[in-house]
Amino acid sequence: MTRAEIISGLKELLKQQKQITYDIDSITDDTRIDAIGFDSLSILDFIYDVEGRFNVQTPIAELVRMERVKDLIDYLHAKLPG
Amino acid sequence: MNPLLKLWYRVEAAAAQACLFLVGIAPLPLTLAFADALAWMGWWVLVPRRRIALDNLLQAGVAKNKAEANRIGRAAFRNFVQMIVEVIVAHRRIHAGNWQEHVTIRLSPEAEVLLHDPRQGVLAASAHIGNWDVAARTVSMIKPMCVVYRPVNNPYLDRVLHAGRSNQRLRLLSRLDSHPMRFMQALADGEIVALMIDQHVWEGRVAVDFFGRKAWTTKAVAMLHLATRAPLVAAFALRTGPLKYEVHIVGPITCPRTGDREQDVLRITQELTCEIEKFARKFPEQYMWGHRRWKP
Repeated sequence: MTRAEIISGLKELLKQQKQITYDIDSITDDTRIDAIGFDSLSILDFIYDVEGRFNVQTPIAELVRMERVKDLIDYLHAKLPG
Repeated sequence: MNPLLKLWYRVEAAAAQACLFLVGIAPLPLTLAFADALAWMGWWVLVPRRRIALDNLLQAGVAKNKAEANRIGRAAFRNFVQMIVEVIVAHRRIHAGNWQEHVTIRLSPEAEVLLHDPRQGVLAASAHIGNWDVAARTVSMIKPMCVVYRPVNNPYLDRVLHAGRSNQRLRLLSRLDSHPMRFMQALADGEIVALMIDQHVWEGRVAVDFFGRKAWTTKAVAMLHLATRAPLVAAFALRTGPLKYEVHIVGPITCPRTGDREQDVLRITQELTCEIEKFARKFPEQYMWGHRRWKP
């Protein structure tokens, strides 16, 4: 999967998160994940949805290492080559 | 803050501090007798709380009639006050060197492996049964634990109640500043993350059957389990005598994902709630019935 496809998929999932007021289209690789405006449970919903959408299983150690959107994209890109 | 309210809060906190000190140094039989008297008084004075407890017991079908509800309700009040007293006493008397004289842990071989694996984070759902506080303290002596608590409105009192209770192995996190990422970090560090799931919540909730009626319950444990795949257990600490407890660890509970998030959350939360109900049904005098659990 290409990075562009991953980004597009992530943005689609973010748009489904109703409580997020952040302008999804302005998110860049460098955006901090905690700046996007997830509330306490929606971050968990998002993880569930990302794993379902991209069919990956992410160990907790990897999850807690991700600080920026780029980290998530890189992780998915490495898991979904092609 | 209103100066009068601030003064009242400080008086409350000072009184609590004095009580903690006295209970901490008094002989255990004396403090337990004091707790009994206080519980008896509380049962008659705290009328709204008593009514809630009686109503809950009757509606849940745990008590067949008002007399039985009265008996169980009073015993539950007594257990609650004893619990508070024993938490204070246990803080001084139960430590890493002697906890096995006070606490017996009942668990499956699989749960035992999880508990003793320093790299494995474990998610624990618990309830207001027996003495949950002493249970957390003792289990944290085996595996570090991160517990979420509900702070009281009085910030000075909250400081008094929780000062010194956190240590290197037991971290208390106020519900107000607990974020899932902190729990995920704790799980990644091989800790137990424990949350109480038997109180009514207004947000992030799912309706599950509890004693035959729908009860709004936090989704947090189910979502954490689904997001992290951390092994999930239910844990309850029954009081078996003065400063004696039996901690029951049920599970690990396996709930594979189906792809339907809301259904998965419901299934997991329901399963955990069923475990709570089993214990509350079997040991009703140790359950906290004075809480409006079935709010609409």
